[in-house]
Amino acid sequence: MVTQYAFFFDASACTGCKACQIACKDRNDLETGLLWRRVYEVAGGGWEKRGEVWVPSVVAYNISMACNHCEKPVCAYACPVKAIGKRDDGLVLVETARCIGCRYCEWACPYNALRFDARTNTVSKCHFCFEDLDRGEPPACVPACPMRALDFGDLAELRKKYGDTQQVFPLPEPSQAEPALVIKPHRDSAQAAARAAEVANWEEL
Amino acid sequence: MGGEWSLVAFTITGQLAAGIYLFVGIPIYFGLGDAGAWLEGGWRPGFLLTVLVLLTAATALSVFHLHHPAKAYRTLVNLGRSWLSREILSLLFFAAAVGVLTVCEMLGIGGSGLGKVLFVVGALAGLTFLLTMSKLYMLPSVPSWNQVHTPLSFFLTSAVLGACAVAFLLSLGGPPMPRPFLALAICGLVASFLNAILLAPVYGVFGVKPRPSLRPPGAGSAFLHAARLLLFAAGGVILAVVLAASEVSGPVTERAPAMLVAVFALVTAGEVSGRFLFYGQSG
Repeated sequence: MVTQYAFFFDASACTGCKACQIACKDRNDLETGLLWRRVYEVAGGGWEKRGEVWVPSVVAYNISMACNHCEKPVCAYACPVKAIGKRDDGLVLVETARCIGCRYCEWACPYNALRFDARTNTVSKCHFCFEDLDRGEPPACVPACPMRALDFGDLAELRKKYGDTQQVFPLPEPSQAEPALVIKPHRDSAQAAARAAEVANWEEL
Repeated sequence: MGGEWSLVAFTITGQLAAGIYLFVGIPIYFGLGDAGAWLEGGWRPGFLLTVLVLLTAATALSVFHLHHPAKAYRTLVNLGRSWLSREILSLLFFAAAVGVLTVCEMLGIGGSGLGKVLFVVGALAGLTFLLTMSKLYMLPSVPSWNQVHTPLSFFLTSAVLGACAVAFLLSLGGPPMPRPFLALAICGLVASFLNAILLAPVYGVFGVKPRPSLRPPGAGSAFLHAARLLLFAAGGVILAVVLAASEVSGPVTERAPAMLVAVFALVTAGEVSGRFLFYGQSG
């Protein structure tokens, strides 16, 4: 039995095509501007002089990120009306009917996963396509990826399969919320901070 | 940034209420010479009613940032974990304590030992309210809030506005001016000024890049930062003039109440600028 569902993301394979983002919007009928899964384009560096030669030092990679259904769901801890709960299988879900729309959880989430839905005047976020999951089908974003950069499953199993990396630049310290997330880093991510990389597509996010 | 106006209004009004309660109440209930006698004669229980009105206004203003205000009554259900629930509880407790003391004053039993005890209970509730309000924003996910500047600036807002309020009330009695409260307000303003300067790089006001994260960069506003500093400085200069002329009767002491109202307005405007800047950092 799954005790903590989790996502795996292979940053070394992601091309930034955003098919996962669109599949999520399509599956969940999200309005324009509302994204439950987002693809961050991380870019930095430029040219650096080595001896007499100028060489490119560009870092560029993508991070596909949704709610990480954290083991320590700080959004649920922050919610004053207990509108956010955690299921036995680890999924963190918003109970829209209880939400008062104070948006405090948006500040509390270090992954910026909670998004305000103007249609319901409540917060919303990735629910791991739990209805599909309960029918034995995968979350919409996973099969949509043409590079197979996304996977899902029990956190312990994913760690056995892919390792236990949970943080690459510019993700926050995992200790803040203990995300149910496993990442295969892109080779550039180790140099990203040193080369002053930053998210390059805020206007899309 | 403007979307947080109700939280700006709520926090500043709540902090003003706590400041007035503490700074007017301490001289009244624990006697501070002439100041205590003057306040006790003219402002008991008026200041308590003022605090109650401010707390009611703060509560009403806070509701405006909710998108489902009709469900707001549920906000106390997560006291075990949520600082927002705890803030609302401490606000209600503070208001209840002030309300009970007000009733006692109206019944004429506020001057007894019971009044002192109730005042202390209310003071502790007010301080708890300020503390929970600060803790609410000290989120690891928002690094610019998760530091000692947050409680420091909230308590300073309360102290400076409270000291300005009591200085104004005492000035209505004519000379001598309330030197200790004027000095206290100036010290608080200097501390607020320094705190604002220290925070400027954290808020990205001087073009300092914030720490990378998945949260969009905050809206550092040089205008709001400069406005806060200028308004604090203007208020501090007027306070210093009143303090310098406080010993002798003359044009300054005659106009002191009007000057202190101007100080209160300037400092409040400075606090509003600073609070909008604060909320702009949330991303």
